[in-house]
Amino acid sequence: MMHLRIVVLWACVLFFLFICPAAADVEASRNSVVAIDAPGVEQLTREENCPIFISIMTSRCGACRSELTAYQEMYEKYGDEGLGIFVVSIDFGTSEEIQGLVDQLGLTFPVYWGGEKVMKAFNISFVPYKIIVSNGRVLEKQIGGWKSTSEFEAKINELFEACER
Amino acid sequence: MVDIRRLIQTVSVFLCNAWMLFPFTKNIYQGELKSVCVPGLNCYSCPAATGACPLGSLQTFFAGIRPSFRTGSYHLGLYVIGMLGLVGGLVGRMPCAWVCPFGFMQELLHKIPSRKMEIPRFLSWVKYGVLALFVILFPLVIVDVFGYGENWFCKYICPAGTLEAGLPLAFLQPHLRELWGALFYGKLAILVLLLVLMVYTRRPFCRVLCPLGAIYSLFNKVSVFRMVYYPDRCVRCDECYRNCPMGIKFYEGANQSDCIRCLQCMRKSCKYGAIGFSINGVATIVPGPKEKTEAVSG
Amino acid sequence: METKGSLVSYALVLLFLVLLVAGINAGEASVVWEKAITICLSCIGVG
Ligand code: SF4
Ligand code: SF4
Repeated sequence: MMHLRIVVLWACVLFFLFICPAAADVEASRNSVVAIDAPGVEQLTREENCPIFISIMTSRCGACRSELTAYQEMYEKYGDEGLGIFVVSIDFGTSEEIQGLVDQLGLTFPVYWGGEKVMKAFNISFVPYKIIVSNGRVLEKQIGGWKSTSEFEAKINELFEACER
Repeated sequence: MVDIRRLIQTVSVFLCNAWMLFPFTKNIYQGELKSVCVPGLNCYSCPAATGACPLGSLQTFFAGIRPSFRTGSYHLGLYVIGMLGLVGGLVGRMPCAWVCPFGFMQELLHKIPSRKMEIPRFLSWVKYGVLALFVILFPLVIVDVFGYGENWFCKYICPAGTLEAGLPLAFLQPHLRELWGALFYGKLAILVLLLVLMVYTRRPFCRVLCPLGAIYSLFNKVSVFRMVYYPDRCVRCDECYRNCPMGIKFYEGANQSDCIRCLQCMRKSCKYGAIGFSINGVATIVPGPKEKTEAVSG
Repeated sequence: METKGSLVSYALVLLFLVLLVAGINAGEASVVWEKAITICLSCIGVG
């Protein structure tokens, strides 16, 4: 009786472990995650784009992951008009996890990996953490992401108005 | 006199939450100590926390198991499982009574004078459901497009998280308050409900909901440290039941799954020496029947 | 009967000790650390 239960339990565990999806096939035109340091992130705020949204996140944060789709959607829509989207992962130790996310969703905007160093330099203890820049000026630096894609889109449009072109 | 258990509990609260600079840094403690799980339920997002929460960490591993296979790191959570099993294998559910800050708070709240009531017994089974579903199964199987699950227990239930992290952080970082939504108010409702129940009934969270207690309780009957019952001495006076923080009738079984080995019954309640404990199968204290000094005078 | 019980507990303790060490060797401590010091908003009920 006891044994049976244990066997069933282990069977379940193994089942869920191994039916997990195999590694996504990686195309040749892979968007490689680039390593970045703290000054590099500072540099991002001085890019020519307007407005600029920088999101600092970790792969294991659900709220951060769910934002990536919104970022991709908006990037496809407004990327040509000058919108800048930069995602910086601060996963500890390795960039493999964030690279996995990029490959899976086929993200096309630039994604960086800063690791613990960027976390320490920016004194980050909450993810997602976003930095919003317009006309070379940092408007907001704050905890938390976007409630919905539409909220994000409204913000983009609001900031587009103010961009000097 | 200061009760030794109260003393240890108090010390433990301060050890688990020793980062007292948070009102100034407006931030949490981020040192290396946080790679070690504490044995009790103590939210690691608490600004003062100095250790990691075993349940939160466990869910994190389960939720990230597919990506970890993908990247070839094969993190199965053995670190946390091993730590929990080690503690459980040695002392069973003892941490609940001696070091768990959340348990301590429940005992203190219960001291508020009021009409006391008892929880229906079958509710103790609920915590195994919470463990199986919210801590293990949901994080493992309900995954997003990336193959990551979520910390279901932390996200939807954990009252310790709301109390120790959700509320204080909202005051340290006012911006967080703007993000409060249905999720937060739901968790707040769970917390408030439990806080009220804690006054009226003994350790409601431990007995009904706590998945950590559920894990440790599996070890109660096989741990190195075990309670021992001497039936010939017991007179069924029910004194043990009256003082037990978990509402257990000791004579119904020496190592019931809800017994947290607080030793209250052995040290304080039983006048007849019917309760003892054993280490490694050897009864270390075989209490003789205590003299009924107060009882005889007449 | 007493001895048998204690053998089981020793076996358990040993088993979990091995798991613990295996976990540490696999570098799991740093995962715990990461999760404990970069707070994900879902842990505090706001996301
Ligand atoms: S207090 Fe002692 S004698 Fe009284 S019921 Fe409990 S175990 Fe039996
Ligand atoms: S039975 Fe005794 S040791 Fe167990 S929880 Fe109750 S009072 Fe504590």
